[in-house]
Amino acid sequence: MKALLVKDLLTLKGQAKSLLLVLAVWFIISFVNGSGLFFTSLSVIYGMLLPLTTLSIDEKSRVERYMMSMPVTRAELALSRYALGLLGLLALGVLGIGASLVIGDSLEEALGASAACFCLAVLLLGVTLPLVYKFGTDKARVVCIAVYMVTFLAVSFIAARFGIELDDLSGAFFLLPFLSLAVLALSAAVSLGIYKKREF
Amino acid sequence: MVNAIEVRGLTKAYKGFSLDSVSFTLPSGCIMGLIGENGTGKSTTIRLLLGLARRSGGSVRVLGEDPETAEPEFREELGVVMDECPFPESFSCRDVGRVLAAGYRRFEPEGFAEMCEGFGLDGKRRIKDYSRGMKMKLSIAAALSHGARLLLLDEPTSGLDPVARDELLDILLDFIQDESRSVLISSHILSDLEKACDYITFIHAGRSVFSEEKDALLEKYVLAKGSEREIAALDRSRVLGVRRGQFGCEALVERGAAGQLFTERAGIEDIMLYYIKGDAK
Repeated sequence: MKALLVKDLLTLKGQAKSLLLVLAVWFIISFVNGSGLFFTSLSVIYGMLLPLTTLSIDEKSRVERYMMSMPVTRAELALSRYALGLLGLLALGVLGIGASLVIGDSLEEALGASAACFCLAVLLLGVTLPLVYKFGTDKARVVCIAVYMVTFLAVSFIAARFGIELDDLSGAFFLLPFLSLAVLALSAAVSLGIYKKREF
Repeated sequence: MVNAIEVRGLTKAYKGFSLDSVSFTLPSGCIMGLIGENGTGKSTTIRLLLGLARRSGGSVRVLGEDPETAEPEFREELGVVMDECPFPESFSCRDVGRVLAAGYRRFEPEGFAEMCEGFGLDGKRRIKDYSRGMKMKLSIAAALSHGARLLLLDEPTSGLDPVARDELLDILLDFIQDESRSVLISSHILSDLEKACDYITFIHAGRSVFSEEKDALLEKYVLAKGSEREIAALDRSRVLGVRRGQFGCEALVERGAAGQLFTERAGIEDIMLYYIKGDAK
Protein backbone atom coordinates (compact mmCIF):
# COMPACT_ATOMS: atom_id res chain seq x y z
CA MET A 1 0.00 0.00 0.00
CA LYS A 2 2.83 2.39 0.86
CA ALA A 3 4.35 2.12 -2.63
CA LEU A 4 0.92 2.82 -4.18
CA LEU A 5 0.37 5.92 -2.06
CA VAL A 6 3.91 7.18 -2.74
CA LYS A 7 3.25 6.66 -6.46
CA ASP A 8 -0.06 8.59 -6.21
CA LEU A 9 1.42 11.46 -4.20
CA LEU A 10 4.34 11.80 -6.62
CA THR A 11 1.86 11.76 -9.52
CA LEU A 12 -0.08 14.57 -7.83
CA LYS A 13 3.14 16.52 -7.20
CA GLY A 14 3.00 17.54 -10.84
CA GLN A 15 -0.46 19.05 -10.22
CA ALA A 16 0.51 20.81 -6.96
CA LYS A 17 1.01 24.26 -8.48
CA SER A 18 -2.38 24.35 -10.17
CA LEU A 19 -4.08 23.00 -7.01
CA LEU A 20 -2.52 25.73 -4.86
CA LEU A 21 -3.49 28.38 -7.42
CA VAL A 22 -7.11 27.20 -7.51
CA LEU A 23 -7.29 27.10 -3.70
CA ALA A 24 -5.85 30.62 -3.50
CA VAL A 25 -8.46 31.96 -5.96
CA TRP A 26 -11.31 30.25 -4.07
CA PHE A 27 -9.99 31.62 -0.78
CA ILE A 28 -9.94 35.19 -2.17
CA ILE A 29 -13.52 34.81 -3.50
CA SER A 30 -14.66 33.42 -0.14
CA PHE A 31 -12.82 36.16 1.74
CA VAL A 32 -14.47 38.90 -0.36
CA ASN A 33 -17.91 37.31 0.22
CA GLY A 34 -17.19 36.97 3.94
CA SER A 35 -18.24 33.29 4.10
CA GLY A 36 -16.00 30.22 4.28
CA LEU A 37 -18.66 27.88 2.90
CA PHE A 38 -17.71 28.54 -0.73
CA PHE A 39 -14.05 27.70 -0.09
CA THR A 40 -14.83 24.66 2.05
CA SER A 41 -17.34 23.10 -0.34
CA LEU A 42 -15.24 23.57 -3.48
CA SER A 43 -11.95 22.49 -1.93
CA VAL A 44 -13.48 19.34 -0.42
CA ILE A 45 -15.04 18.43 -3.78
CA TYR A 46 -11.59 19.00 -5.28
CA GLY A 47 -10.25 16.49 -2.74
CA MET A 48 -12.67 13.91 -4.09
CA LEU A 49 -11.24 14.42 -7.57
CA LEU A 50 -7.63 13.69 -6.51
CA PRO A 51 -7.84 9.88 -6.82
CA LEU A 52 -9.66 10.28 -10.14
CA THR A 53 -6.82 12.50 -11.40
CA THR A 54 -4.19 9.91 -10.50
CA LEU A 55 -6.33 7.14 -11.99
CA SER A 56 -6.52 8.85 -15.36
CA ILE A 57 -2.70 9.36 -15.36
CA ASP A 58 -2.25 5.72 -14.25
CA GLU A 59 -4.38 4.54 -17.15
CA LYS A 60 -2.22 6.46 -19.59
CA SER A 61 1.09 5.10 -18.32
CA ARG A 62 -0.28 1.60 -17.53
CA VAL A 63 1.54 1.83 -14.22
CA GLU A 64 -1.05 -0.48 -12.57
CA ARG A 65 0.37 -3.41 -14.50
CA TYR A 66 3.85 -2.59 -13.20
CA MET A 67 2.66 -2.08 -9.63
CA MET A 68 1.05 -5.53 -9.77
CA SER A 69 4.45 -7.01 -10.63
CA MET A 70 5.68 -5.55 -7.33
CA PRO A 71 4.85 -7.02 -3.89
CA VAL A 72 1.40 -5.41 -3.96
CA THR A 73 -1.98 -7.16 -3.74
CA ARG A 74 -5.00 -6.54 -5.94
CA ALA A 75 -6.95 -5.48 -2.84
CA GLU A 76 -4.29 -2.89 -1.92
CA LEU A 77 -4.43 -1.50 -5.45
CA ALA A 78 -8.24 -1.21 -5.31
CA LEU A 79 -8.25 0.37 -1.83
CA SER A 80 -5.30 2.71 -2.37
CA ARG A 81 -7.53 5.22 -4.21
CA TYR A 82 -9.97 5.20 -1.28
CA ALA A 83 -7.06 5.86 1.08
CA LEU A 84 -5.77 8.67 -1.12
CA GLY A 85 -9.27 10.17 -1.44
CA LEU A 86 -9.91 10.07 2.30
CA LEU A 87 -6.48 11.55 3.08
CA GLY A 88 -7.06 14.34 0.55
CA LEU A 89 -10.58 15.03 1.88
CA LEU A 90 -9.32 15.09 5.45
CA ALA A 91 -6.49 17.51 4.63
CA LEU A 92 -8.74 19.81 2.60
CA GLY A 93 -11.51 19.55 5.22
CA VAL A 94 -9.09 20.74 7.91
CA LEU A 95 -7.87 23.47 5.54
CA GLY A 96 -11.52 24.47 5.02
CA ILE A 97 -12.02 24.85 8.78
CA GLY A 98 -8.86 26.96 9.05
CA ALA A 99 -9.82 29.15 6.08
CA SER A 100 -13.40 29.64 7.40
CA LEU A 101 -12.06 30.74 10.79
CA VAL A 102 -9.68 33.21 9.11
CA ILE A 103 -12.57 34.57 7.02
CA GLY A 104 -14.51 35.13 10.23
CA ASP A 105 -16.98 32.23 10.49
CA SER A 106 -17.71 30.86 13.95
CA LEU A 107 -16.05 27.58 14.95
CA GLU A 108 -19.46 25.90 14.94
CA GLU A 109 -20.21 27.09 11.38
CA ALA A 110 -16.73 26.14 10.15
CA LEU A 111 -16.87 22.65 11.67
CA GLY A 112 -20.44 22.01 10.50
CA ALA A 113 -19.79 23.10 6.92
CA SER A 114 -16.57 21.15 6.67
CA ALA A 115 -18.05 17.96 8.18
CA ALA A 116 -21.11 18.11 5.91
CA CYS A 117 -18.98 18.68 2.79
CA PHE A 118 -16.63 15.87 3.89
CA CYS A 119 -19.53 13.42 4.26
CA LEU A 120 -21.03 14.41 0.90
CA ALA A 121 -17.68 14.06 -0.83
CA VAL A 122 -17.16 10.62 0.76
CA LEU A 123 -20.59 9.63 -0.57
CA LEU A 124 -19.71 10.83 -4.08
CA LEU A 125 -16.31 9.13 -3.91
CA GLY A 126 -18.02 5.89 -2.93
CA VAL A 127 -20.38 6.08 -5.91
CA THR A 128 -17.75 7.22 -8.41
CA LEU A 129 -14.73 4.95 -7.75
CA PRO A 130 -16.33 1.58 -8.62
CA LEU A 131 -17.78 3.14 -11.78
CA VAL A 132 -14.34 4.41 -12.80
CA TYR A 133 -12.76 1.05 -11.94
CA LYS A 134 -15.35 -0.75 -14.04
CA PHE A 135 -15.60 1.56 -17.05
CA GLY A 136 -12.30 3.49 -17.09
CA THR A 137 -12.06 7.25 -16.59
CA ASP A 138 -13.39 8.22 -20.04
CA LYS A 139 -16.55 6.09 -20.14
CA ALA A 140 -17.13 6.55 -16.40
CA ARG A 141 -17.69 10.31 -16.88
CA VAL A 142 -20.81 9.59 -18.91
CA VAL A 143 -21.92 6.78 -16.59
CA CYS A 144 -21.42 9.00 -13.50
CA ILE A 145 -23.52 11.80 -15.00
CA ALA A 146 -26.23 9.25 -15.85
CA VAL A 147 -26.14 7.79 -12.32
CA TYR A 148 -26.34 11.22 -10.68
CA MET A 149 -29.17 12.32 -12.97
CA VAL A 150 -31.18 9.15 -12.42
CA THR A 151 -30.68 9.47 -8.63
CA PHE A 152 -31.75 13.13 -8.70
CA LEU A 153 -34.81 12.41 -10.85
CA ALA A 154 -35.76 9.38 -8.75
CA VAL A 155 -35.53 11.36 -5.50
CA SER A 156 -37.54 14.24 -7.02
CA PHE A 157 -40.16 11.80 -8.35
CA ILE A 158 -40.50 9.95 -5.05
CA ALA A 159 -40.72 13.26 -3.15
CA ALA A 160 -43.42 14.56 -5.50
CA ARG A 161 -45.31 11.25 -5.51
CA PHE A 162 -45.52 11.05 -1.73
CA GLY A 163 -45.75 14.79 -1.14
CA ILE A 164 -42.46 15.02 0.77
CA GLU A 165 -40.91 18.48 0.98
CA LEU A 166 -37.15 17.98 0.59
CA ASP A 167 -36.56 20.88 2.98
CA ASP A 168 -38.34 18.85 5.67
CA LEU A 169 -35.55 16.30 5.41
CA SER A 170 -32.99 18.73 6.84
CA GLY A 171 -33.78 17.22 10.23
CA ALA A 172 -32.44 13.92 8.95
CA PHE A 173 -29.09 15.55 8.14
CA PHE A 174 -27.47 13.78 11.08
CA LEU A 175 -27.95 10.54 9.11
CA LEU A 176 -25.53 11.72 6.39
CA PRO A 177 -22.33 10.39 8.04
CA PHE A 178 -23.91 6.95 8.45
CA LEU A 179 -25.16 6.96 4.87
CA SER A 180 -21.70 7.99 3.63
CA LEU A 181 -20.03 5.28 5.66
CA ALA A 182 -22.45 2.62 4.43
CA VAL A 183 -21.99 3.68 0.78
CA LEU A 184 -18.21 3.74 1.24
CA ALA A 185 -18.18 0.22 2.70
CA LEU A 186 -20.41 -1.13 -0.07
CA SER A 187 -18.34 0.71 -2.67
CA ALA A 188 -15.06 -0.76 -1.33
CA ALA A 189 -16.58 -4.27 -1.46
CA VAL A 190 -17.67 -3.76 -5.09
CA SER A 191 -14.23 -2.36 -6.02
CA LEU A 192 -12.46 -5.33 -4.40
CA GLY A 193 -14.65 -7.63 -6.50
CA ILE A 194 -13.77 -5.71 -9.68
CA TYR A 195 -10.02 -5.90 -9.00
CA LYS A 196 -10.15 -9.56 -8.02
CA LYS A 197 -11.24 -10.39 -11.57
CA ARG A 198 -9.17 -7.75 -13.36
CA GLU A 199 -6.45 -8.68 -15.83
CA PHE A 200 -3.53 -6.32 -16.28
CA MET B 1 19.13 -28.41 -10.75
CA VAL B 2 16.16 -26.34 -9.55
CA ASN B 3 14.03 -24.80 -12.26
CA ALA B 4 13.31 -21.07 -12.21
CA ILE B 5 10.30 -21.45 -14.50
CA GLU B 6 8.22 -24.49 -15.41
CA VAL B 7 5.39 -24.00 -17.89
CA ARG B 8 3.25 -26.95 -19.03
CA GLY B 9 0.43 -26.73 -21.57
CA LEU B 10 -0.22 -23.07 -20.80
CA THR B 11 -3.34 -21.76 -22.51
CA LYS B 12 -5.12 -18.45 -22.46
CA ALA B 13 -8.16 -17.68 -24.56
CA TYR B 14 -9.00 -14.19 -25.75
CA LYS B 15 -11.45 -13.07 -28.39
CA GLY B 16 -9.58 -13.47 -31.67
CA PHE B 17 -6.36 -14.78 -30.12
CA SER B 18 -5.38 -17.67 -27.97
CA LEU B 19 -2.24 -18.94 -26.41
CA ASP B 20 -2.45 -22.65 -26.96
CA SER B 21 -0.34 -25.15 -25.12
CA VAL B 22 2.91 -23.33 -24.44
CA SER B 23 5.49 -25.41 -22.57
CA PHE B 24 9.08 -24.70 -21.54
CA THR B 25 11.45 -25.04 -18.62
CA LEU B 26 14.07 -22.52 -17.58
CA PRO B 27 16.71 -24.01 -15.26
CA SER B 28 18.24 -21.73 -12.61
CA GLY B 29 21.43 -19.97 -13.58
CA CYS B 30 20.42 -19.71 -17.25
CA ILE B 31 19.12 -17.16 -19.72
CA MET B 32 16.21 -18.12 -21.95
CA GLY B 33 15.22 -16.17 -25.04
CA LEU B 34 11.55 -16.07 -25.98
CA ILE B 35 11.24 -15.46 -29.70
CA GLY B 36 8.38 -15.09 -32.16
CA GLU B 37 6.60 -12.59 -34.36
CA ASN B 38 4.56 -9.67 -33.04
CA GLY B 39 1.27 -10.76 -31.54
CA THR B 40 2.18 -14.42 -31.17
CA GLY B 41 1.84 -14.43 -27.39
CA LYS B 42 5.25 -13.55 -25.94
CA SER B 43 3.95 -10.65 -23.82
CA THR B 44 0.87 -12.67 -22.85
CA THR B 45 3.14 -15.48 -21.66
CA ILE B 46 5.14 -13.05 -19.51
CA ARG B 47 1.92 -11.56 -18.08
CA LEU B 48 0.74 -15.07 -17.18
CA LEU B 49 4.09 -15.80 -15.52
CA LEU B 50 3.57 -12.70 -13.38
CA GLY B 51 -0.02 -13.58 -12.50
CA LEU B 52 -1.22 -10.33 -14.14
CA ALA B 53 -3.66 -12.33 -16.24
CA ARG B 54 -5.35 -15.62 -15.35
CA ARG B 55 -4.58 -18.67 -17.45
CA SER B 56 -7.36 -20.72 -19.03
CA GLY B 57 -5.43 -23.97 -18.62
CA GLY B 58 -2.08 -25.61 -17.97
CA SER B 59 0.31 -25.15 -15.09
CA VAL B 60 2.88 -22.50 -14.26
CA ARG B 61 5.58 -22.57 -11.59
CA VAL B 62 7.78 -19.52 -11.14
CA LEU B 63 10.53 -20.02 -8.52
CA GLY B 64 8.45 -22.95 -7.33
CA GLU B 65 5.26 -20.90 -6.85
CA ASP B 66 2.04 -20.57 -8.79
CA PRO B 67 2.01 -16.84 -9.62
CA GLU B 68 -1.80 -16.67 -9.41
CA THR B 69 -1.93 -17.84 -5.81
CA ALA B 70 1.50 -16.88 -4.45
CA GLU B 71 1.82 -14.36 -1.62
CA PRO B 72 2.78 -10.87 -2.87
CA GLU B 73 6.21 -11.20 -1.17
CA PHE B 74 7.06 -13.74 -3.88
CA ARG B 75 7.30 -10.84 -6.31
CA GLU B 76 10.24 -9.41 -4.32
CA GLU B 77 12.23 -12.06 -6.19
CA LEU B 78 11.17 -10.85 -9.64
CA GLY B 79 12.66 -8.03 -11.68
CA VAL B 80 10.38 -6.96 -14.50
CA VAL B 81 10.78 -4.91 -17.67
CA MET B 82 7.51 -4.29 -19.49
CA ASP B 83 7.27 -3.70 -23.24
CA GLU B 84 6.70 0.02 -22.58
CA CYS B 85 7.92 2.38 -19.86
CA PRO B 86 5.37 1.93 -17.06
CA PHE B 87 5.99 5.10 -15.07
CA PRO B 88 3.97 8.34 -15.34
CA GLU B 89 5.61 10.89 -17.62
CA SER B 90 5.86 13.48 -14.85
CA PHE B 91 8.16 11.17 -12.85
CA SER B 92 11.91 11.63 -12.65
CA CYS B 93 14.41 8.87 -12.03
CA ARG B 94 14.41 9.85 -8.35
CA ASP B 95 10.63 9.55 -8.15
CA VAL B 96 10.87 6.02 -9.56
CA GLY B 97 13.47 5.27 -6.88
CA ARG B 98 11.08 6.52 -4.17
CA VAL B 99 8.29 4.23 -5.36
CA LEU B 100 10.66 1.25 -5.55
CA ALA B 101 12.02 2.05 -2.05
CA ALA B 102 8.46 2.02 -0.70
CA GLY B 103 7.61 -1.22 -2.51
CA TYR B 104 10.64 -3.50 -2.18
CA ARG B 105 12.18 -4.46 1.15
CA ARG B 106 15.55 -5.16 -0.46
CA PHE B 107 15.70 -2.03 -2.63
CA GLU B 108 19.29 -0.83 -3.02
CA PRO B 109 19.15 2.99 -3.39
CA GLU B 110 22.89 3.41 -4.06
CA GLY B 111 22.92 0.62 -6.64
CA PHE B 112 19.87 2.10 -8.39
CA ALA B 113 21.36 5.62 -8.42
CA GLU B 114 24.70 4.29 -9.71
CA MET B 115 23.03 2.32 -12.47
CA CYS B 116 20.91 5.34 -13.53
CA GLU B 117 24.05 7.48 -13.57
CA GLY B 118 25.91 4.80 -15.54
CA PHE B 119 23.07 4.78 -18.08
CA GLY B 120 23.34 8.58 -18.36
CA LEU B 121 19.91 9.21 -16.77
CA ASP B 122 19.66 12.58 -15.06
CA GLY B 123 18.02 12.17 -11.64
CA LYS B 124 15.87 15.29 -12.00
CA ARG B 125 14.84 15.13 -15.66
CA ARG B 126 11.27 14.01 -16.27
CA ILE B 127 10.46 10.81 -18.14
CA LYS B 128 8.46 12.75 -20.75
CA ASP B 129 11.78 14.23 -21.93
CA TYR B 130 13.46 10.81 -22.16
CA SER B 131 14.11 9.04 -25.46
CA ARG B 132 12.72 5.53 -25.92
CA GLY B 133 16.15 4.08 -25.17
CA MET B 134 16.45 6.10 -21.94
CA LYS B 135 13.01 4.93 -20.79
CA MET B 136 14.09 1.34 -21.39
CA LYS B 137 17.32 1.89 -19.45
CA LEU B 138 15.32 3.27 -16.52
CA SER B 139 13.07 0.18 -16.57
CA ILE B 140 16.14 -2.07 -16.62
CA ALA B 141 17.73 -0.18 -13.69
CA ALA B 142 14.45 -0.59 -11.75
CA ALA B 143 14.35 -4.35 -12.46
CA LEU B 144 17.90 -4.78 -11.19
CA SER B 145 17.47 -2.55 -8.12
CA HIS B 146 16.09 -4.93 -5.50
CA GLY B 147 18.04 -8.15 -5.50
CA ALA B 148 15.67 -10.11 -7.77
CA ARG B 149 16.46 -13.78 -8.48
CA LEU B 150 14.53 -13.93 -11.74
CA LEU B 151 14.38 -11.26 -14.43
CA LEU B 152 11.40 -11.24 -16.80
CA LEU B 153 12.23 -8.87 -19.62
CA ASP B 154 9.74 -8.08 -22.38
CA GLU B 155 11.59 -6.63 -25.38
CA PRO B 156 14.20 -4.82 -23.26
CA THR B 157 16.56 -4.24 -26.18
CA SER B 158 14.07 -2.40 -28.39
CA GLY B 159 14.98 1.26 -28.69
CA LEU B 160 18.52 0.67 -27.42
CA ASP B 161 21.50 1.48 -29.62
CA PRO B 162 23.99 -1.36 -30.31
CA VAL B 163 26.38 -0.19 -27.57
CA ALA B 164 23.62 -0.08 -24.94
CA ARG B 165 22.31 -3.47 -26.13
CA ASP B 166 25.75 -4.93 -25.72
CA GLU B 167 26.02 -3.38 -22.23
CA LEU B 168 22.67 -4.91 -21.29
CA LEU B 169 23.77 -8.35 -22.45
CA ASP B 170 26.94 -8.00 -20.35
CA ILE B 171 24.79 -7.02 -17.35
CA LEU B 172 22.60 -10.11 -17.86
CA LEU B 173 25.60 -12.43 -18.24
CA ASP B 174 27.06 -10.92 -15.07
CA PHE B 175 23.68 -11.29 -13.31
CA ILE B 176 23.56 -15.07 -13.82
CA GLN B 177 27.08 -15.61 -12.46
CA ASP B 178 25.19 -16.33 -9.26
CA GLU B 179 23.58 -19.64 -10.21
CA SER B 180 20.45 -19.05 -8.18
CA ARG B 181 19.51 -16.32 -10.66
CA SER B 182 17.88 -16.63 -14.07
CA VAL B 183 16.59 -14.50 -16.92
CA LEU B 184 13.71 -14.83 -19.36
CA ILE B 185 14.04 -12.30 -22.16
CA SER B 186 11.83 -11.76 -25.18
CA SER B 187 13.34 -9.91 -28.11
CA HIS B 188 13.03 -9.28 -31.81
CA ILE B 189 16.75 -8.73 -32.10
CA LEU B 190 17.73 -12.34 -32.45
CA SER B 191 21.46 -11.66 -32.73
CA ASP B 192 21.30 -10.38 -29.13
CA LEU B 193 19.63 -13.56 -27.96
CA GLU B 194 22.12 -15.67 -29.87
CA LYS B 195 24.93 -13.98 -27.95
CA ALA B 196 23.50 -14.26 -24.46
CA CYS B 197 20.96 -17.07 -24.20
CA ASP B 198 21.44 -20.65 -23.05
CA TYR B 199 17.94 -21.70 -24.15
CA ILE B 200 15.60 -20.55 -26.91
CA THR B 201 11.81 -20.94 -26.85
CA PHE B 202 10.02 -20.14 -30.09
CA ILE B 203 6.36 -19.22 -29.92
CA HIS B 204 4.43 -19.14 -33.19
CA ALA B 205 0.69 -18.46 -33.54
CA GLY B 206 0.17 -18.96 -29.80
CA ARG B 207 2.03 -22.30 -29.58
CA SER B 208 5.55 -23.10 -28.47
CA VAL B 209 7.13 -24.61 -31.57
CA PHE B 210 10.32 -25.60 -29.79
CA SER B 211 12.17 -24.94 -26.56
CA GLU B 212 15.76 -26.11 -26.71
CA GLU B 213 19.29 -25.45 -25.62
CA LYS B 214 20.68 -22.84 -27.97
CA ASP B 215 23.92 -24.70 -28.74
CA ALA B 216 22.05 -27.92 -29.48
CA LEU B 217 19.66 -26.00 -31.72
CA LEU B 218 22.49 -24.34 -33.67
CA GLU B 219 24.21 -27.70 -33.93
CA LYS B 220 21.03 -29.39 -35.15
CA TYR B 221 20.45 -27.50 -38.42
CA VAL B 222 22.40 -26.20 -41.42
CA LEU B 223 21.42 -24.23 -44.50
CA ALA B 224 21.87 -26.35 -47.63
CA LYS B 225 22.14 -24.63 -51.03
CA GLY B 226 21.58 -26.14 -54.42
CA SER B 227 19.33 -26.37 -57.45
CA GLU B 228 15.65 -27.10 -57.06
CA ARG B 229 16.27 -30.70 -58.16
CA GLU B 230 19.09 -31.22 -55.68
CA ILE B 231 17.01 -29.82 -52.81
CA ALA B 232 14.00 -31.91 -53.85
CA ALA B 233 16.19 -35.03 -53.65
CA LEU B 234 16.93 -34.51 -49.92
CA ASP B 235 15.32 -36.72 -47.28
CA ARG B 236 12.11 -34.76 -46.72
CA SER B 237 11.65 -35.99 -43.18
CA ARG B 238 14.86 -34.12 -42.27
CA VAL B 239 14.09 -30.89 -44.15
CA LEU B 240 12.50 -28.14 -42.06
CA GLY B 241 11.70 -25.74 -44.88
CA VAL B 242 12.68 -24.65 -48.37
CA ARG B 243 13.02 -21.18 -49.89
CA ARG B 244 13.24 -20.66 -53.61
CA GLY B 245 15.24 -17.70 -54.91
CA GLN B 246 16.26 -16.32 -58.27
CA PHE B 247 19.60 -18.18 -58.26
CA GLY B 248 18.58 -21.49 -56.74
CA CYS B 249 17.13 -23.06 -53.66
CA GLU B 250 18.01 -23.04 -50.00
CA ALA B 251 16.76 -25.44 -47.37
CA LEU B 252 17.05 -25.67 -43.62
CA VAL B 253 17.98 -29.29 -42.99
CA GLU B 254 19.16 -31.40 -40.11
CA ARG B 255 22.94 -31.57 -39.94
CA GLY B 256 24.12 -34.64 -41.82
CA ALA B 257 21.11 -34.64 -44.11
CA ALA B 258 22.54 -32.22 -46.68
CA GLY B 259 24.55 -34.88 -48.55
CA GLN B 260 27.11 -33.34 -50.89
CA LEU B 261 25.38 -29.94 -51.02
CA PHE B 262 27.17 -26.78 -50.01
CA THR B 263 26.12 -25.86 -46.44
CA GLU B 264 26.27 -22.81 -44.21
CA ARG B 265 25.78 -22.34 -40.49
CA ALA B 266 22.12 -21.63 -39.63
CA GLY B 267 21.47 -18.90 -37.06
CA ILE B 268 18.46 -18.57 -34.75
CA GLU B 269 16.97 -16.06 -37.18
CA ASP B 270 17.24 -18.56 -40.07
CA ILE B 271 15.60 -21.26 -38.01
CA MET B 272 12.74 -18.94 -36.98
CA LEU B 273 12.22 -17.66 -40.54
CA TYR B 274 12.16 -21.17 -42.01
CA TYR B 275 9.62 -22.26 -39.46
CA ILE B 276 7.37 -19.31 -40.29
CA LYS B 277 7.99 -18.61 -43.97
CA GLY B 278 9.74 -21.67 -45.38
CA ASP B 279 7.70 -23.44 -48.04
CA ALA B 280 6.25 -26.80 -47.25
CA LYS B 281 8.84 -29.54 -47.49
